[in-house]
Amino acid sequence: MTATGDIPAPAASHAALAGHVHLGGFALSVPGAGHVAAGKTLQDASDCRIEAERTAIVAVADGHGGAKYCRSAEGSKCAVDAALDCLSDFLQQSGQCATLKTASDRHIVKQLRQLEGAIIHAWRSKINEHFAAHDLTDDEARTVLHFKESVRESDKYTLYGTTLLYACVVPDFWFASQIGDGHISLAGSAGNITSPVPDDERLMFGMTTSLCSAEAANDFRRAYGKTTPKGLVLVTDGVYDSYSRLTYPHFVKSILQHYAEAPENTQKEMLQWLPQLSERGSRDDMSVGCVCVTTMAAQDHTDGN
Amino acid sequence: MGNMFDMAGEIVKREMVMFFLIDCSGSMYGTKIGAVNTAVREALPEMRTVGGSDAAIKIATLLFSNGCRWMYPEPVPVEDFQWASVDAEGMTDLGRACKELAEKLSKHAFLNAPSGSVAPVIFLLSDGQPTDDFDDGLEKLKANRWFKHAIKVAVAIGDDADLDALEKFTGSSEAVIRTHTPEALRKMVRFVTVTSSKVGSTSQGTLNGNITTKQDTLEAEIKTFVNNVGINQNADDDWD
Repeated sequence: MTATGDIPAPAASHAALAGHVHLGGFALSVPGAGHVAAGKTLQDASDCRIEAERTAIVAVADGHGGAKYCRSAEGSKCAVDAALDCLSDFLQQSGQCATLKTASDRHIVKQLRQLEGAIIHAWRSKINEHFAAHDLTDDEARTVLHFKESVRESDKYTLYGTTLLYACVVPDFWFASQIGDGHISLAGSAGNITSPVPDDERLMFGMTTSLCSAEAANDFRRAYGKTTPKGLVLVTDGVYDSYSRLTYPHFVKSILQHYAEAPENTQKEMLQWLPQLSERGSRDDMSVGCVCVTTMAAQDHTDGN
Repeated sequence: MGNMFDMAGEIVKREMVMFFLIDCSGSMYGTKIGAVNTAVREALPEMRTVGGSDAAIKIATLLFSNGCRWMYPEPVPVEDFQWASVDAEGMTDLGRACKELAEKLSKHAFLNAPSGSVAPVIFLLSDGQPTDDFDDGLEKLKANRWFKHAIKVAVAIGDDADLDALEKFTGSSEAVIRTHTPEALRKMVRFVTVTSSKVGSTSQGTLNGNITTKQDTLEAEIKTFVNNVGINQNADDDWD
């Protein structure tokens, strides 16, 4: 579990902070009620990095679980780490997305697709490293149908199969991307909740696309905007499938509203809530990643330095 | 003390619908339809325990002979489902049943779960040969994407069942099991309903690569069961 990025109080000794944007956020994962009952480990992972209250990146991932994906818990952790590392590099190289804020749609999409490719590559590198350091156990070997004398490339990545969802917010620009199931919600500046990332109709039928697939580069879906949203909420399907589609936006609004008012308490309450939600809902692992944007009103200060 | 997210939205379970397609034609009269009635009733208690785990299971039953009709107008939660004994008479309008199923395999019809439906399980039981335009009906059904991704199993009851038709329906010879006795039918119905509920209601699998689908998983389980339990598929029919 990672919870980072409390919104810092404005420094009282500074000059007026008219309309200053603060970014905060958190990321949490809890094991599903069904998984706990079956003695399975947590297959989800999540993390969030806020830099100097001006950039926020967040990622959640859901390992496929099951005998054939026997290392997907490690796979999801590697996915989140790879995503945040690549996002950090991306922010540095783009001047915190400065190069994108005035770019054409075509250029933006090209950059975002390159980023997705970098994340896939980074994830595979992490998997290669882990696989090299950890031989297959006999049990793991038996569950790999195609395992004979050696493991094929596709078999290796399959063991670590996972979904991945991530988002980045800076003043006047945001983007989000996902492969596989789970959901990303955007709270616009007017507070309306939308689902900006296009659906993949194939996922309607209980299956998911995966980072481990040879076609992963073509299976990402993405969205972006040249605005400052009120927030973004990313969840794995364990959360999304536990709410009716009609009322899920209320949950998103609730997270952002509570976080803006009381960030630490919201994270504590969410940590307590998710196991209850899993028990009553999908019984699956649960991850929530959130970026919350608040705008400080202008303040006059009479004490100067 | 309550949690700040208590009232944040309606909490639901994932939902899976299991479809039974039951041949009620005249040739099923007597022991065969009796065995089907008994087999499904016996399987229900165990299905109810599977449903409580990761998904809410609902049952929809389509009876076909002369034309077809649904046992109930909507899928019924497994905990509330009561099997209404079925009689047998008439023809074998499996083509008509396929068209009716295609219409109901829709998020605007039977697959309208509040949080989205999991791919359904479709279980066909038949002892004979379709007597209407089965190929036309099946073509309509195959154009339905829910059907394409559904877990499909067929039990052929007795020697006269059209295995070709059942294999066309399921898309795989591994998903068609022949039974020759009432006891074998009861065992297969119980096994298939419980196992397909478990497989269908747990999330797994991806769309491409060497990933096992739920259909593959179920077929492997069926194969193991048939071999281990010794349901003799070469036995002579004994439906008296």
